[in-house]
Amino acid sequence: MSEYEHHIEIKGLSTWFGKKHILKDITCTFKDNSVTAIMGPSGCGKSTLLRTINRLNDLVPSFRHEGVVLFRGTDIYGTGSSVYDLRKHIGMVFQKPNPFPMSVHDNITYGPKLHGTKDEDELEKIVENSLRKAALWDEVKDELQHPAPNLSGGQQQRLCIARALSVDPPVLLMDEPVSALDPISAAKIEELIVELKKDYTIILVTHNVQQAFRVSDQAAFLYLGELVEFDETKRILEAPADARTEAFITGRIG
Amino acid sequence: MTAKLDSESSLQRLYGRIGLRDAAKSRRHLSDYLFRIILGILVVIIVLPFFLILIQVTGVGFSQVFGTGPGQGLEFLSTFPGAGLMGGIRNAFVGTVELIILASIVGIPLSVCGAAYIIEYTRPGRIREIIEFTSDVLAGIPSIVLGAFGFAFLVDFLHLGMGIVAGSLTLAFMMIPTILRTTEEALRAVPMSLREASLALGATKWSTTWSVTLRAAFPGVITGVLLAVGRVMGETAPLIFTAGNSLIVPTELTGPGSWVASMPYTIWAYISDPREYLQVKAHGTALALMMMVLAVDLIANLISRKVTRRIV
Repeated sequence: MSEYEHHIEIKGLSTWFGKKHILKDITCTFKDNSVTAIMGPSGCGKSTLLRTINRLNDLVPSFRHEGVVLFRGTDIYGTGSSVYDLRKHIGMVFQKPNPFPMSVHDNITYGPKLHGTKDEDELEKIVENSLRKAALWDEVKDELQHPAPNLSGGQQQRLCIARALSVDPPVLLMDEPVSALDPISAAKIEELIVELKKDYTIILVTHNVQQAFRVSDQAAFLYLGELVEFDETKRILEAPADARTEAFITGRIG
Repeated sequence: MTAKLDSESSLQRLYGRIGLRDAAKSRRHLSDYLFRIILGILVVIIVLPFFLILIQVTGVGFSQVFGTGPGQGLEFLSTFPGAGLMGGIRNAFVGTVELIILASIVGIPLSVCGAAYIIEYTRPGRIREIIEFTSDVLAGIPSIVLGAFGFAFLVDFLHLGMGIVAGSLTLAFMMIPTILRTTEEALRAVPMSLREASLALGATKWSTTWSVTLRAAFPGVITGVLLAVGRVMGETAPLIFTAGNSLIVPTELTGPGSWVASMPYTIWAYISDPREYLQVKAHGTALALMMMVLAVDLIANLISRKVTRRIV
């Protein structure tokens, strides 16, 4: 394995869906064990950038890319790199809670079982650890066999976080994870994100400047597929270097 | 203000005197009323055949299936027909159960896997349209034509001969379009983000389809299976040329020993017979068949509800 400084590095990345040019020559490094927020107005390519990192865009037949995305110093699109292995190491949490149609317990064991963990005791340990990390254990420990879709929206989203943590990925991608939730559940998840950055590298797509301010250390501002700014969140929000960033922060574009 | 009120009330009085308002009102009431009556009559017409069938079948066949005399009740289902077709219909009862089980073993996996392939592995486009069009046409083919096809292809061309294999395969052909289409619809209704969540955990497409997508679509799949099994259970035409008939249960998979009787075929054979007691037995068989279809319905419903409770 090659030398690397941070888990995720992006060099000169451009992407297309068919003829539509989405991301334009993006170069950045996501710092380990911190939260990086990707901000920007709708349609600026935030989600595309996130989904390029775990190759979920491969599902779209017309997707095409140039440049390199490095995970631990290796090009994830390069020959010989396994997409299944990559996704095991890069977890993802989606905008809407999407628990599998199974019990709470089976939602967590799904990932580890895929990657070959068969030992029952070990699986039980993973269930408890993952749910504890997602701050959900106390609420569901007596209901592990209940169907996951019966949980509340906020609980479902924390279950989805626990599910992503079940295969112990060093990197966690989050695509507007609280935008479909009520304010109280959203606050809980924000707290959780801050807690999780001790152990994980988190990349968070958000539409919400306040949220970026509350939870993130670095921030990237994307506008029409261009990376306009990438710096410490505080610096960007207090003294935006670019007029477009300022317009977004002050709510004039978005 | 008062002037306005005054003028309004005087206008009302004027309308009242002419009777315009009431007339319009009552005419609307009347048409509303009539429409309701017409709909009610239509509903009666729709459900009437079912009750007429039920009355006829139970009226004649009730004692055959529920009676306690010799050759009645369970004995009717558990004894083979004897001399002059006296005795029970065990041959037909067991035959239908075996045919349906074999047809399901072949038909259900084929159509569910086919639907999964179409929805999960092909892109929308010409090929998918052709497959869907073909299966829609297949669903509309008269069952006697399928029976003729079963005879020409399975019995004759593939040299399977008449019997339980050719009969159940023909029934499987009949099940496929229904299950295929309902499974397709159920898979289409599964949200994309569920598949993505599985793939994002490093799952392969196959395990995503099998353990997540199909699982989420399960209630819809069960509905399709239920419709298909219920329909196929009562089919006579596909079996006439393919299953043969028998007074006992099949003892072999090929050759004359594999010939098999079925409930619908037995109803058809007995009802075309002038002997009085066979008429009664035909009605009894029909009643038993209806109850079997109902049982399948109830079991499938139960499974579906149990699973749905677990997953939704």
